[in-house]
Amino acid sequence: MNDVVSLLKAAQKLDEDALTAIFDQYAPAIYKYTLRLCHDPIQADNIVGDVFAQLLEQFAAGKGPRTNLRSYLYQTAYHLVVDRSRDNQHTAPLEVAVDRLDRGQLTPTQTQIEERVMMEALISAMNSELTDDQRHVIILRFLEDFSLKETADIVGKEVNNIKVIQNRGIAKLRKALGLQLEEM
Amino acid sequence: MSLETRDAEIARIFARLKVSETGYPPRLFDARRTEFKKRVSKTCLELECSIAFINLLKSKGSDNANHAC
Repeated sequence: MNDVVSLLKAAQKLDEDALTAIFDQYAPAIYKYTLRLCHDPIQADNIVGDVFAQLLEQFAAGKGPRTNLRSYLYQTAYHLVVDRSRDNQHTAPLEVAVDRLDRGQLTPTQTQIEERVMMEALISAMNSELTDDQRHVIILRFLEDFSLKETADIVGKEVNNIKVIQNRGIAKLRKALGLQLEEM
Repeated sequence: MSLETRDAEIARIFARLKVSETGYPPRLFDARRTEFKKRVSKTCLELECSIAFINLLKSKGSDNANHAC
């Protein structure tokens, strides 16, 4: 924790090593998060560039985060994704993950096949059943491990609102998974 | 299937997703990192130039003031 604080302090003074260390530490996670939302590797990479460019501009102007750098970076990424998705509607997110699961194994076991079906059902439900807000909240809470408060800060909503969005999203996923299980 | 089992199943799938998703392709990451480092150097240089320019203006200002005296 102290490392992050001292890194942040040094970065605020435009210490080049500290800024590079921040990039190394957070860029891969921001890329993954952005890819989950926008589904386009090139756009995700561009957004990573913009997130860190904005961070640098903020520090150069004597502004920027004083605490919780991770939330700040995700918040910037979130807003960039939302802004761009208004102009450019993409669909098809985490499917890449499913394709990677069986790689390296020629004959998947029955359990693996069932698991893959379940995962595809969940991913499909996340894409087609959830609203944008629900998808963002579920990703931040369960894939990025942010707290309710941090998630609320990132998407700019109240904690109670986040709880409602999360519960409704989970209810939809439960339903989708239940239907899938009935079919199996 | 009970609600708890279904939630456990969702949690398990999320856990699998976390580890299985594609990471940052190394070439993209390296290119972006290099670009960021260049941007940092450029920003630092610009700031240093601005500070030097302001200092120069200040010193010229005080020179003129001294002349006036």
